[in-house]
Amino acid sequence: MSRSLRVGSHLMLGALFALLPLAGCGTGSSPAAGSADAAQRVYVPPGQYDEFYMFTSGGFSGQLGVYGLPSGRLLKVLPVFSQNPENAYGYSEETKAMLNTSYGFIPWDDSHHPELSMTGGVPDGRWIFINGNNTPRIARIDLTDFQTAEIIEIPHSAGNHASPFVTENTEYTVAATRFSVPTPQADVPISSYKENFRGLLTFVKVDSASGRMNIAFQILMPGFNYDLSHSGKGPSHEWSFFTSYNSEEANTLLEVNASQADKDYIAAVHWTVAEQCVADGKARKIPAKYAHNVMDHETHVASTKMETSTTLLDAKDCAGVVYYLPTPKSPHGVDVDPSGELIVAGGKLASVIPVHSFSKMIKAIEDKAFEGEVGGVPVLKYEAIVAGEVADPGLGPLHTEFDGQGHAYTSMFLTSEITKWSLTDFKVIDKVPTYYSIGHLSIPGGDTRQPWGKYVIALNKITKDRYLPTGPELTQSAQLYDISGEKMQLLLDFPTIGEPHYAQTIPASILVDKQIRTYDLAENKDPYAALSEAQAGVTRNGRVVHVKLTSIRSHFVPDNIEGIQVGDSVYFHVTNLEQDWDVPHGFAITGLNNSELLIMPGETRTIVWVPERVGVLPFYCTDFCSALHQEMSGWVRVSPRGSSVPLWANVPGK
Amino acid sequence: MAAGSDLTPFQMENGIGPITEAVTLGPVNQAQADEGKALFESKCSACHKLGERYVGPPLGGILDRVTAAFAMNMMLNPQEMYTRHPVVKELLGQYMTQMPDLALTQEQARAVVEYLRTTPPPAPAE
Amino acid sequence: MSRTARLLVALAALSMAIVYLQPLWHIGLVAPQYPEGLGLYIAVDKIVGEKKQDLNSINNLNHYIGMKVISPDDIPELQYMPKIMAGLIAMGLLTAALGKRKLLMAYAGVLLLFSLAGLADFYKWSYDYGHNLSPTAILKIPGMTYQPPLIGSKQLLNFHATSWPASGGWVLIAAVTIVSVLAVRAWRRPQAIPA
Repeated sequence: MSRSLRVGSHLMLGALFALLPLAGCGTGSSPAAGSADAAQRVYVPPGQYDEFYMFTSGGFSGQLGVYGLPSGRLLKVLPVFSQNPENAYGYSEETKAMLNTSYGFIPWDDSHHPELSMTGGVPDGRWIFINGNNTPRIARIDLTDFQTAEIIEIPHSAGNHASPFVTENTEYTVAATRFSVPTPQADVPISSYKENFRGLLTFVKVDSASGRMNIAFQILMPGFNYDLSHSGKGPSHEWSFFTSYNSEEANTLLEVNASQADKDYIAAVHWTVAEQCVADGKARKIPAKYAHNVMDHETHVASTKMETSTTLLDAKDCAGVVYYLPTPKSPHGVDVDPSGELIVAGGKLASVIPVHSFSKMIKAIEDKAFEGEVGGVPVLKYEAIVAGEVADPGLGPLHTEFDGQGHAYTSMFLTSEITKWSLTDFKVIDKVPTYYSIGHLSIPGGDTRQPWGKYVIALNKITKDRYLPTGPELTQSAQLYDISGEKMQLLLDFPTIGEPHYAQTIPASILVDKQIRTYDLAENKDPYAALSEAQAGVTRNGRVVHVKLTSIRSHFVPDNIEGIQVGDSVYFHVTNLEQDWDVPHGFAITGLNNSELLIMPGETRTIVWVPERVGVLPFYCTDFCSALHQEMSGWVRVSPRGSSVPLWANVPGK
Repeated sequence: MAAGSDLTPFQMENGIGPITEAVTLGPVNQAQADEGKALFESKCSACHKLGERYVGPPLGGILDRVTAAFAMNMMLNPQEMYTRHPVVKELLGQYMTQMPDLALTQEQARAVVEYLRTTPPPAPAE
Repeated sequence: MSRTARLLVALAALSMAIVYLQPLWHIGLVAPQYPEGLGLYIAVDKIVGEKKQDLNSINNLNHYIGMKVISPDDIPELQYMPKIMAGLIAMGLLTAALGKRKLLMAYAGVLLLFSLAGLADFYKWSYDYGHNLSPTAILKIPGMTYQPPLIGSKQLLNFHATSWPASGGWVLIAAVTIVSVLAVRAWRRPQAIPA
C-alpha cells in the first residue's frame, strides 16, 4: 500500500470520528424579527395614549383582557365570569349575584368571543358582549366604566361557542349549542344521539336603550355541533350564519368520526322569519330554569332573577327560517365581508377556502335549488351558492377578517400563517408566518361594515420560545402586523392572559371621552352606604353585625370597633368618600377568609367576615393611597361568644 | 430664585386658580352660609374639623387668616396650589396629605367661605 | 494483503461495532409550531425519539393523516439486524486474520449488498408508512402522501422533513468505503499485494 493511501485513510477515519460529536444536535430555528423601523411604529411615548383599545377574550381565565394598540400594553383584566380577589368581583356582597346560575354559584367560565355592540354595522362603543362557553351564558359589559353589567344564562344549551355575535344594530346577540344534547334535557342513553340529541340556536334580544338582554326565542335544529357565527349586514342584514360540524351525528371519538363527510353545513337563519313564526304562534313556551343577573345601575348591587320559560321554535315548523349551505370539511369560522354579500367559511380540514354568495343563496332559495333536506331543513346545492374558492391558501383555514380595502385575511392553523387574499378574484396576495399556530385573528372593525384596517393581530395557540421561559406553563401570545401596505409586516409580539380566542379592536377616540372617572357620591344608592363620616357606625341584629365604614385619605371611620363576638357574621360596608380620579381605597382584616375589597371613589362595597378566634385584629387600606397610607388602619376587638363587651365604634360626633 | 417668585403678588395673597380678583365680603348672608354648612359637612368634614387638626388644618375662623379668594382657589384648584404656591407647599410638608379636587362650583366654594366666616377660630394651644 | 490493509480491514470491522452504541439514521421534522423540531433516530436494534417524547409526538401528529403508529416492536429487522452486524464484524476480522485477497473482495461485496438491502428495506418501510393511510383519516388531502425522503429533505404539509445518516451510519459508510477501496485496489493491482 502506498504511503499516500495510508495517510489518506488515517485522515478519513479522523474526519469521520470528528463528526460524531455533531450527532444529536437539535434542529431549532430562530424566529423572524420585525424590520428595523418596527419598534418606532409600535412605540407610544410615555404619557401618550394608544390609538386603539383591543378587547381579548380571557379564554379559560373567564375574563376579558383590555390592551392598548399598537403598543400591546395590558391596560386591564376585566372580570366577567370568574371571581377576582384583586377587586372582590364575585366575592363582595354587591357582586356575588353576577355569578349565579341555575346550577348554583359558579366562580369560573371559559370566555371566548368579545363582540362590540353595533349601530348600522359599525361598533358604537356602548357595550361589549362575551360568551361563557362551559355553563352557557352571555355577559354584557358597560364601556363607560368597564364593569360587567349583566349576565344571562342560556337554558337548554351546551357548549355556548357560537356566541355572542350581534346583528347589525345589536337587535340580537346569539348563542348556539356546540355540543348537541337532549333538548329538553332527559336521562337517555348516549347511543340514542341521532334520535334524541338536538342543536339549539338562541336569539337574545338587546334593549336598544338600556342594553338589557332577554331571550326572544330558541330555534330547535338537527343535532349537529353549531360552532361559530356571524350576522349578516347590508343586504344580508336579516340573516345570521352558523357553522356546524358533526353532521355525521357521531357520539364518540368525534375527532375521527365527525371528520368523515366531505361537506358539513353553514346554517343560514332568517331571523325576521323566525320573529314572524313566533308572532304567528308557531313556537311554544317550554319550561326552563335560567339565571338572569343584573347589576343595578343606581345601587351598584347585583341581583339574580330565576327565569322559568323560553319560547321554542322547531325549525321544521317554520318554513324559510333556516337553510343549510353545504361547506367543505368541518367548517369553523363563518365571516361576512363588509358589503354583506360574501360569506367566507374556514373549513378547518379543507384545502381551499370556500366563499359563498349571499345573492346566489337568495336566488337558489327562490329557484328551490335544493339537493335534499336534513331534519326538515332544506340543503342548497353547493354549486348554486358558491362564489368561488381560494386555492392554495395554506392549511387549516379557521377565521377571516376584512380590511375594507377589498382584502380578506384568513388564519391558517396548520401552516401557522395569515393568508391575505383578494375579494374580487379570490387570489392569494401574501402570506406571513405567525408564532405559533394562529387561531382567531382581529383587524380593527374587521368584521363590521367599515373596517378601520391598519393592523391585523394574530391570536396564537402556542407560545413555545417567544418569551423568556417560565416553566411548563407559558404566557399566551399575540402578534401585531402592519397591513397598510401590499405585504403584511410583523411589528410586535406581546403576551396575553388566559387564551385569547377572539379579540375586537376599536379606535380609542370612541371610548376615551365617555369614561367615568369616579362615581358620584351624592348618587350612591347602596342601602348600606355611609355618605359622610357622621353616617358611619355599627349595628347588631342577632349574630349579624353591620359595620358602615368610610374611607378617605388617610383614615377609616370608625377605626376602633369593639363588641364583635366569635362566630358573628360581620358585614364591612366600606364607602369610599373620595371624589378624586384614581383614588381607590382597599380593605382587609387579619384572617379574612374571603377576598379583599377595592372600592372606587363614590362607591360602597361589602365583604363578610366571620371571626373565629378571640383577639384584637388590625384592618388596613390595601391600596397605597397617600403619604399617610401606612397610617390608614384600625382595630377590631373580638370577644368570646356571649361576652358582655358592648358593641361600640368610635365615630366622631357620636 | 426665591420660592414662589414666579407668582404675582396677587397670587401670593389670593392663590392660583379661577378666582383672579379679590372677593369683597359684605354682611354675612345667612342662607348662603347654611348652604355652605351642608356642603362643608358632606364634602369637607371627613378631613377638616373646625377647632382641631385632623387630616387637614382646622378651618374655624380661617377667613381671619387667609383671604376669601385664597380659600376659594384652594378649594377649586388644589392640584396647582400644591405644586406652585409656597405657602401650600409648606402645608403639604406639614400634613403629608394632598386635598383632592372636590369638583365644587365657584358658587359652592363661595358658600363654604360664607359658612366658614361664621365659625370661631380654634382655641389657642396651651 | 499487506499488513496495513489487514490492519485497516480489522479497524473498519471493529469500528462497525459503533452501531450498537450510535444510531444509523436520523429523520428530522420541523414545522412552524415545532421550531425546536421533532426527530427520530433509527439504530440497529431500535427506533427512538431525538428527545424523550418525540416518537410519541410524531405518532400523535401522524394520526391526523391516518398514518400507522410507528411501533419498534413490530419491525422484525430490529430483532435480527444486530446478529447480522455481528456476523459482518466477525467476517471482517476473519478477512484481516487470514489476509486472503479473494476473501477481501467477497467481504466488500457482502458489505455493499448489505448496505443496498438496508436502504431498500428502509425505503419499503417509509413507503408503507407514507402511503398506507387509514381511509377514515381526519385530514385527507387529495393526492397527498407522506413518505419521508430516502435521503435529503422534502416538504410534507406543514412539516419540513429531512433524512440523513446519523453518527453510526456515517461510521458504517466509512467502514464500507474503506473495505471497498481496499478491495478495488486488490482487484486492480493483485501483484502489489503479496499473499
